Amino acid sequence: MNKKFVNKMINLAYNSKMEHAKILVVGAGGIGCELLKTLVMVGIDNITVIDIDTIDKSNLNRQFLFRPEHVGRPKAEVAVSTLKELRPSLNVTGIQANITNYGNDFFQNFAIVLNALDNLEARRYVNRLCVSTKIPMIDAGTQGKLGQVTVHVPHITACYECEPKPTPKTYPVCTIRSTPSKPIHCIVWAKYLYEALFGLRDPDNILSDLQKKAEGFSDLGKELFNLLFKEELPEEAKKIEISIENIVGSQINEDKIGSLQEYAAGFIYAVENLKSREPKPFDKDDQLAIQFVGAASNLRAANFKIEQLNLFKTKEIAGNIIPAVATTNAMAAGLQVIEALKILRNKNEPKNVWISEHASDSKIIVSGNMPPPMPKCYTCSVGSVKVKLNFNTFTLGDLVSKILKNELSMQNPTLNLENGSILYESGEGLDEEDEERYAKNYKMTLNELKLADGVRVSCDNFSTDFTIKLIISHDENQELYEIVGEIVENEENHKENGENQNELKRKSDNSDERECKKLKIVEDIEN
Amino acid sequence: MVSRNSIVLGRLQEERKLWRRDHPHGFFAKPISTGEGSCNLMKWECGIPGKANTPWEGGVYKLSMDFTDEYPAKPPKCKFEPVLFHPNVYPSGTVCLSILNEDQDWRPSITIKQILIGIQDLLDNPNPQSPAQAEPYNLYMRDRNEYTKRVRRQALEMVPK
Repeated sequence: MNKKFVNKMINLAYNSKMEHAKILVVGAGGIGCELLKTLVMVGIDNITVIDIDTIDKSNLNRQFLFRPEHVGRPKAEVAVSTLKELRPSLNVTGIQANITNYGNDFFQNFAIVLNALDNLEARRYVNRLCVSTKIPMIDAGTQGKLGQVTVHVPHITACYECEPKPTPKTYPVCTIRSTPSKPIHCIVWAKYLYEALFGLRDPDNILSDLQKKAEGFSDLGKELFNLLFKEELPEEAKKIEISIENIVGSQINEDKIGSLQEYAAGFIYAVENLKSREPKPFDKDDQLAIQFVGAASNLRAANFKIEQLNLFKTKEIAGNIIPAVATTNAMAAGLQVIEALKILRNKNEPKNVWISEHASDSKIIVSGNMPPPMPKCYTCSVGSVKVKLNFNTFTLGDLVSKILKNELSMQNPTLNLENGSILYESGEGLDEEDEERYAKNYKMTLNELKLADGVRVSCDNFSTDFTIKLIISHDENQELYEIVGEIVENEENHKENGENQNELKRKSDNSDERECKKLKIVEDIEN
Repeated sequence: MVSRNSIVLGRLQEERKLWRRDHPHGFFAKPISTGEGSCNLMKWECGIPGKANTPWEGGVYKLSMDFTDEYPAKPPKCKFEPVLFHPNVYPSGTVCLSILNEDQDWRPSITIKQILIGIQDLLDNPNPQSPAQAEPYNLYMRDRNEYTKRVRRQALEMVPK
């Protein structure tokens, strides 16, 4: 970062509107701690932080708001008290809870939501709430020396779910069972084998049949060895031609690649010790489990003439270990704060920023423009309607007939929840069982259907492909129902169903005064 | 409540709609009922009829399809329940077929209908290159008559009530 840039940053920092903007930070872990520190340092003083976790000793090397004496205490609470030591005048709140317990009413208090999360599911949840409350969300993620920050301004830039996320590789059953070609295939096989024999014993495990075979074995280690590495092999594989009669179990070396005899000994050692132990799921820090996976995967590698790996490397792959780098977290958090300041000042184009390991063009921070929303995104292109009604008296049938059919002119709606459940379907192509189930649901109240306050229901008209999201909140005093605020709609839906939308009678909602801040591109901070 | 990937749900809602509008004769495919008055899009139960003029004729073979949060980037897991006597069906019931293999012929554009038709085709055209279940594979290779008998018997057991 050059001087001019830093100067601009400082100018941005002294802005009163910004100082008092309410910011939500989701997560107080690696990125979260850096984020909170940086926000406070640039002068933001009204922050709410939410995190479900307590502090673990292993957090202390990079989560600098925590000290050894804090181990075991809630992250959000300790983060807040450490920040207050830095600046007692701060208005910061820490909440120890799961973010998915909070709905629209909570989110709409904030000017910006900053994500410092470690999982997709929570990010998706926050994204949906930010889209429906029209609050900009800035996401960050790091992996080793790599990082990325993205800015999601509802209906202006792509939402977090507009594009599918690259997913970790999984391996098809055939590759793992019969045709491995890389060390990782052998490690995945060995992990399945561990789970089938000494772990979760899930009947869906692709190797569960081997567990059944092994049940009758009296000398488990040796018989299993013969079964796995000599007998139960596809024709093209090479049998391991060593005799194990006289082999005595012993641990395998961490750093060196061993001989087949050593792996056989390691395998027998691990099996003998594991068989008398209570089953427990695979854990990379479990010495016996790692010994087992290390020995079994290398023996299998020998069967299929695949490169062998030492135990250290095996553990890294088997445990999916990617080191967390404090500097990367600090950079990502810093970039998030820059993007947040730009939004608060109503200036500049939101950026998609990458932190890379190798400099390209002598930069390791590279940015691009955020793409616009995808017209077909299932999250942000679908219009939404907020409805208030009494969950104790309002039935699914009322919802279908009064709101979807009368108000929204749907003919044959399908109602889906965000966990994949189908509440109701109508129209052609249903069988008796379906009809019966939906007839029953039709008469039930939302409460009886176990729907939660703030539930989000995707409603799709079977014959016209018109889709809208209902966000339903409970109101004890509501005799009928109330449609709240503006209907956020999507252009494509609008084109097809424009006439329906216009007929809608809406009550104005005074409490909902916030308007989506339209970002104006004034100047680019980096140039 | 779990928030599922909206891309997955959108696609499955679309698949459900397509199937309701039109599907091949004798097949069925629908989201599985979860008991409490709803059913879930992430797991489907399907039925594949054996083709006419093959030893599989008459039977409707039940198959479950499990979709993950990575669908349609990754194929669903297709499993015969109960486990089918077939050279390319693993002892767990999982089907070994190239269009269901991410590293081979799976494409996100393949529909549920195409998967089921592909599996129906596999019934009478097993692939000896990728054996998955020892007994049917060995019989198929060594004693085709006995194999056919077993398949016929299985078809009788799987005639829908």
